[in-house]
Amino acid sequence: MNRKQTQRIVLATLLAAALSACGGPPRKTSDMTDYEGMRQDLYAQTVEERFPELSHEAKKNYAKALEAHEDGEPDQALHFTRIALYKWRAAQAKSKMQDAADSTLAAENRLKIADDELKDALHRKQTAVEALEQAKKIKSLEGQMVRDEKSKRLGAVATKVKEAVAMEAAKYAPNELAKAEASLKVAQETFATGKLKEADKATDAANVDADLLVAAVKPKYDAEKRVRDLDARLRVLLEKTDKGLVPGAKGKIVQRGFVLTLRGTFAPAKSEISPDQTFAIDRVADLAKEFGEFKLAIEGHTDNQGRKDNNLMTSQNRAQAVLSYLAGKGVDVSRMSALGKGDTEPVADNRTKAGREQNRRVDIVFLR
Amino acid sequence: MSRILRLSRGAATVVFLGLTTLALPALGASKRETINQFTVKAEEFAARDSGKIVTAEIGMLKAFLAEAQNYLAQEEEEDLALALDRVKAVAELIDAELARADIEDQATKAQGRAETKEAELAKVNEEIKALQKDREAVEAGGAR
Repeated sequence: MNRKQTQRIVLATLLAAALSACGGPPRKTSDMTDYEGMRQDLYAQTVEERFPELSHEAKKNYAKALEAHEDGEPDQALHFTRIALYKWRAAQAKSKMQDAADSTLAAENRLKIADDELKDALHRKQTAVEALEQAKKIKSLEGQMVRDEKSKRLGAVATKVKEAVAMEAAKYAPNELAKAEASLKVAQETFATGKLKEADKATDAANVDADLLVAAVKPKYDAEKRVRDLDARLRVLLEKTDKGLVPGAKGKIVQRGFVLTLRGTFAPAKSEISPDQTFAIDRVADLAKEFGEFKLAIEGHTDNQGRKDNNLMTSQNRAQAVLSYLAGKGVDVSRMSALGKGDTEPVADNRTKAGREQNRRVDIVFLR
Repeated sequence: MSRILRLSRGAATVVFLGLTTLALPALGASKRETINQFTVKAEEFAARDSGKIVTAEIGMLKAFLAEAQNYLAQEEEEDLALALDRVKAVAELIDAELARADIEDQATKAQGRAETKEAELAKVNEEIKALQKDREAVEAGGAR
């Protein structure tokens, strides 16, 4: 370092010392710095707008503080700075209070809205609960109806099988019966598990088997029953004639039905019913109407006296005369047929008078 | 400017001293009353300040009141007036801060109530959605 440089440094130091001694603006206190910092923050503008008087008082006091500070009166400066700080902080607090009041108002508004919406929501919830219950109830009823319908179908199949058993299915169609009963059992067991779709299929199968069973049993059963019923009716007919319901007539059950034999209905060689015999034919008419399920074959017979062709004609005429008489008494013509057999079917010896009397007759056959 | 102020302040002091000589007993009673009122207020503030948010400020208030009491006893009117100015300013601040705290507390509580209610509403809305979903499921489900 040369002399000139040393001189420069000394001069600069002296100049700095001199400037320092002359005194720049005195350094601000921390309270002052705090105050100024507060006045510069973003919120300060809002505070000034809301509380202009307090803001102004703070400014005024701070101006006094600065003046006292510049005048070298620290106590005064501290006093006014504090007043300024307190006023400004009070303004800030009041502004924040207003914010809080606004916030309370907003929150209360939110609360009211939420409360109203909650009431509405609770109402909607109640509605939704009721709708769910209703839906469950309907579904349950639907399920019950479906189960009832399926149960009814299954019951109908069971009835078919039961009826087939009553129609002696074990006798007429034992194999079909075994199959139908097995199918029915499967359907009933499947239904009991609650698997309705599977039960449906099993019921269909059981129904088919039951129909096959009935188809196998019914015709046989009906045929046999008809025979039994007709036999029973023929026995009733026989009982009635045995009790003399038709005077002079004899009845008997034969292969083709019941034969009621009338004698003495016609005068010799005549084809008109003797007036004293109409009473007996009237009773025959009553029986014919009472036993309407039988067709009637009216057959005329003669003895072997005279020409055969005459006998045949006479017997035919007599049979026809009875038919006409019965029709006149209300017996349906379509049920009746008249046939003359002449002397071809004797029931006694024509060589005797008694035999010939036996052979002259009209048979009214109640056909099976 | 400051010199003019200092001069006028000096003149005012002279006038003030003259006046206080005449009316000192009356003024002293008024200031004492003020000090007493703010002493009572300081206790009230302390009682209100359950959240201890203005403990320092209440401390300052009490200190200023003590100063004022001292100036009153010494009959230093100018300092007493300044001390009372500080008392009033810090008391106004404390009052504002306590009121702010109260209202902010109310706001917080109101927000809490609103949030609780909104949460309840959201829960009910969720329940409604679940119920509707259940109903749709029931309606969609066929009988077994």
